[in-house]
Amino acid sequence: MKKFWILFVTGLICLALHESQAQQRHRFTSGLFPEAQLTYDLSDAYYITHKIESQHGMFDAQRLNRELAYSHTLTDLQSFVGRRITPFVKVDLGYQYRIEDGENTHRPIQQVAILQRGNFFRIGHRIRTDQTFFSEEAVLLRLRYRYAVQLPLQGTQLDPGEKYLTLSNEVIYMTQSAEDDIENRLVASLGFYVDDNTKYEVGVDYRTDDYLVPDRFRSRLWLKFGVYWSL
Amino acid sequence: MEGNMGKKWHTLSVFLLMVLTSVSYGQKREIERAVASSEVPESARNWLETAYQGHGKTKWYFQTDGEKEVYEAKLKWKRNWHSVEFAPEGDIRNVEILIRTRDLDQEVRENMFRYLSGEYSSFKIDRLQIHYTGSSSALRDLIAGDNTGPELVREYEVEFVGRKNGVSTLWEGQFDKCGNFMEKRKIELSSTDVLDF
Repeated sequence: MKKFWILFVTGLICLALHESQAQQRHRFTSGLFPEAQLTYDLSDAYYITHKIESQHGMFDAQRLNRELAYSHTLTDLQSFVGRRITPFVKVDLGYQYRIEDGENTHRPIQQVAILQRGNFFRIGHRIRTDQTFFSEEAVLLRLRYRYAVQLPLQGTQLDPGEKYLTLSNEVIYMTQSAEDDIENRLVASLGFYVDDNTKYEVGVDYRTDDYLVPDRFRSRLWLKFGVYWSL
Repeated sequence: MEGNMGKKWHTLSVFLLMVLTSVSYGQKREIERAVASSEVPESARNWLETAYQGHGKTKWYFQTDGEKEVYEAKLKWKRNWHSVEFAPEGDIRNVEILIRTRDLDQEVRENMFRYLSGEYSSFKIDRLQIHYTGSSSALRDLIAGDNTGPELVREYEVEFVGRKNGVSTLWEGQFDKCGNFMEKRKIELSSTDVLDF
């Protein structure tokens, strides 16, 4: 839990940094971020996960009159094959196809997810690497770490029909053509645990990036809502 | 015409009611929820106040598996988490104390580890609790002075990952006061898909 607060405070510092830099040049967008996920077992050890997530821009601070206008930002189609190493450790290999204006991209993904149980909450650690391939530009390499806390709101464990809160922060280091950068993602979601096979979440996802690029600092605030099925 | 429609709606309502009723009867639901201390029987609250004098913040929970009902208090006492279980009428049932593996007595540890290393190619203890049952006064004495008199029944509840034939499984094992194996059951963790992706 202590680690979470360190990451949470890091996120807040990023937010404060953003605010101070925003005075110079405000690059802020906001919109809707729906996602859906399906997981099913192949065997006791192996499972498949499919995910679709999509960002729809509604607001861009750089528009002349700051009016609301819809634009499709991107849609990601992801599939993973995972293996349960222990009840607390999983390894996944995945592939993402991104649809966006300009150029669609391919991205292999590798991740290790570790579950830690507390008395009143669960913590999920996720270490992920990915490589994004473009037709003309050099490959983009990223190293990511996410720390997520899932807190049942009506007891110490989640029972069907109950709600939960998920708070997470992810730090992403990326490098492309010898230029590097950092992105941060702070997410707070309210979850509805219908049963172990069906969950709904609604929350906010605050992303900041271009920390290491002068005068390019950017932030994005997404209203996120998702459905998660496991068979 | 109207009469026919009304009859159809009536039939449909009865059908839906029957489906819902049969579904809710068919499920044996385990429920655990936080409750305000004012909802807890007074005798349970009094027992806790007397036994844990000067205790810190306490969280109360109500649990049922459809048949058995209990109230449970969780609090930190002398640097360990205690779970104190009461009957619906407020009578004390048991006390569980969360400890670390290194806190185990040597004999208990040796017996427990002998079983685990004999049964599994590798194992890792994730959660370890001492489970005390006994009379109200014996449990009160235990909390007051860590006095484990002969009238108390002491058992260990151990959640561990055991690896056998290349497969790791999470178990809850029960061990007696000397660390001898009694029984175990498999623990199914609720899904972690929202934490993984």
